[in-house]
Amino acid sequence: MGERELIGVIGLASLFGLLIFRIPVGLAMIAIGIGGNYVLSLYVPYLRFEPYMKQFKSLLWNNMASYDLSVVPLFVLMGYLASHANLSRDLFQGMNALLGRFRGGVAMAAIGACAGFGAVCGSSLATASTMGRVALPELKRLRYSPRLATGALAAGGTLGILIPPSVALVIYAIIVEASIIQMFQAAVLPGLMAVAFFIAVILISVRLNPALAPAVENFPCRRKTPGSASFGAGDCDFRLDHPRSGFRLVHPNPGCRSRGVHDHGLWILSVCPAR
Amino acid sequence: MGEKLEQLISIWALLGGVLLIAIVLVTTLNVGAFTLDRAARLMGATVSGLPGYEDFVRLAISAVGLMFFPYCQLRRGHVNVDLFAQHFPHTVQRALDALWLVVTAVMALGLAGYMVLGLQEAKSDNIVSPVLGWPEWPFYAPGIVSLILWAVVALYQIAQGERHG
Repeated sequence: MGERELIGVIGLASLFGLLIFRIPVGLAMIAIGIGGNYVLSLYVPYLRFEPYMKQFKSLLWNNMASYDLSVVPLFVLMGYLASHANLSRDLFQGMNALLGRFRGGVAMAAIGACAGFGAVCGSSLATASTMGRVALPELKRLRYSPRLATGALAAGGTLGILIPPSVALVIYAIIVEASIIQMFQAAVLPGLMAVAFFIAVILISVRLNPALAPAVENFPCRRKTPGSASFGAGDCDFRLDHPRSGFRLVHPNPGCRSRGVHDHGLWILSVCPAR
Repeated sequence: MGEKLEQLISIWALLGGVLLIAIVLVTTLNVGAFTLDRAARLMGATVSGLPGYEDFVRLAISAVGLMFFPYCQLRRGHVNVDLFAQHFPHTVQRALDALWLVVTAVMALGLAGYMVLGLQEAKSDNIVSPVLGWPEWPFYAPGIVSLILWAVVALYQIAQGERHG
């Protein structure tokens, strides 16, 4: 192994070392990047440190000034809109109506709702926190084991980043210069597989250890769940000041052409009377 | 002082949000125009999209992205790995926290300094956006302010930590 490779490996090791000490990840990467380049410039004659530092003049701005990157805050905004439109609650209720009759069904419903929410939100953190706020009180009320409840929600949260639109896939596609839409297409099947496996794990662990979830008694088949609840992803309304009218959030269609996100409809907001 | 600073940071992030709404509106208009175009083509007419749409989005997003940084710091939203450090003794944790805040402030100020140089260069080189022909250097300014605010928040959090500790 040459000197340069060794420096690279040491850099990687020190990056993980720093991360253990709770340094913000971005800060660690900057520190290791600058430090590593400095050390390299000492050992490798044709790499110089000053020109490297000079690129910071425009590096940050040029990386931010990226058209493709603009979908990231927009996806986050879309997730917030969906969350405030109570899409998360509707999804959970709808899924609960479908799955609530099984032992551990409410936890499975949380997974399903996470998957549905992942289809409008590109961030795992946002998905986990939004669904946690909706599903965790319900799981607690029904005396689900906290281990199962939080585990299901934490696992379900990862669906947010797997099921398109996904912030991580956008950034990855920008870095490797691949087609964002192809990335999204490729992520659908793994996302659905993950949902199936998560639900299977809940099914099996509840079967093995019935103490994890309460028994279901007299599940009300016809609960007061709105008809649209199971299809909450399709439409939802968030009422503004007037109870009879509101904005309708139509399911976003991140249709992208070629590489990038040209000519796409992030979402369509239309004013229409609420149900 | 603390409340004023938090207000200022929130307002700064909200301004970023306003820019983001502008991007949303422009995008909506553009997509709407493309859809109209498809319909109009059936009748032999064309509707054009917004000229320079990508230019605007690119310039605006450069400001928006950085304008959220101080708010993120205020909410301690920057990603870190909690898994190991939460088992450290309390004093060590607090010391590490303060250390990283100092490093954050130094790095943010350093980046701001380099960005000022970048602004001067972009101004003297007359860099303009390809379609709209807008000069790019004014869009460095919100970024520089954001980085400085980021450092201020980090320093404020050090002071705050000690007062509470």
